[in-house]
Amino acid sequence: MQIVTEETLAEYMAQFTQAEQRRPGAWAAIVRAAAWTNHASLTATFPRAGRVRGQGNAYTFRLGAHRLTTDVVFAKVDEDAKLVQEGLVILVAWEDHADYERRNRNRRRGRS
Amino acid sequence: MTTTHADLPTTYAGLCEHFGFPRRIRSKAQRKRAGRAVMALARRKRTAEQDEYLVDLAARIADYDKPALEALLEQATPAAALALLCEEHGLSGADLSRILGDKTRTIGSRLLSGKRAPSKAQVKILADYFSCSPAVFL
Repeated sequence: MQIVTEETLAEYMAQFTQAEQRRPGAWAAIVRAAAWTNHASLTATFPRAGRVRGQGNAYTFRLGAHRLTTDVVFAKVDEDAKLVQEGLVILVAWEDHADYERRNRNRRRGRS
Repeated sequence: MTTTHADLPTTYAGLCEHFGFPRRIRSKAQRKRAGRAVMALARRKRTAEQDEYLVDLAARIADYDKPALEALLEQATPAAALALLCEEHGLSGADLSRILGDKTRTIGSRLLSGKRAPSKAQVKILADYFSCSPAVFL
């Protein structure tokens, strides 16, 4: 799967210390080598990944004290299971659990 | 220009007209525009052509971001990836040993601490168990 962010990855990761980058680094290595074609294949690797209701294929991943919100475009394969379109994971937000819950509560109340 | 979800074209051609054709990114300004286009299309129900456009644009972005991604991936040791997957699946070192068929129950914690690298046979078992690429553990 390709991994992209709004700003450059370098800018995105610069906000974290080297130690904090270890977990997203491991997550990125697993995702980069994956070719998820559907929800089942994603949750086979990350069973705790949660789908965000009403936002297409938005998924959240728990990485220790943080929550990573993403949007996934699943890879496409032909009848012979040959890859015809690589999948994509867009990093939308990286927050601690409290910030995530706060933002979600506000979203449900229609404030964001 | 502010674009709402409802305003976005639903076809590939329409998106090319709106955001530009997904071509090689050569500058920070182009990268910024591409990033904005990606986020405009993110977190919404999309058409197949919107997905296709997004994937093509992301491939250009990924080319531009390649050095940063490589730097991030360097932080990822096989042991860190294994630890993350065990956490995700609720497994302890002892559970990992059991999955790998180790009766002494020590191999799991040694793999998790990075004191030992998995053998080829263990890599295959781990990749099958976690439904991921064997490359993650090499």
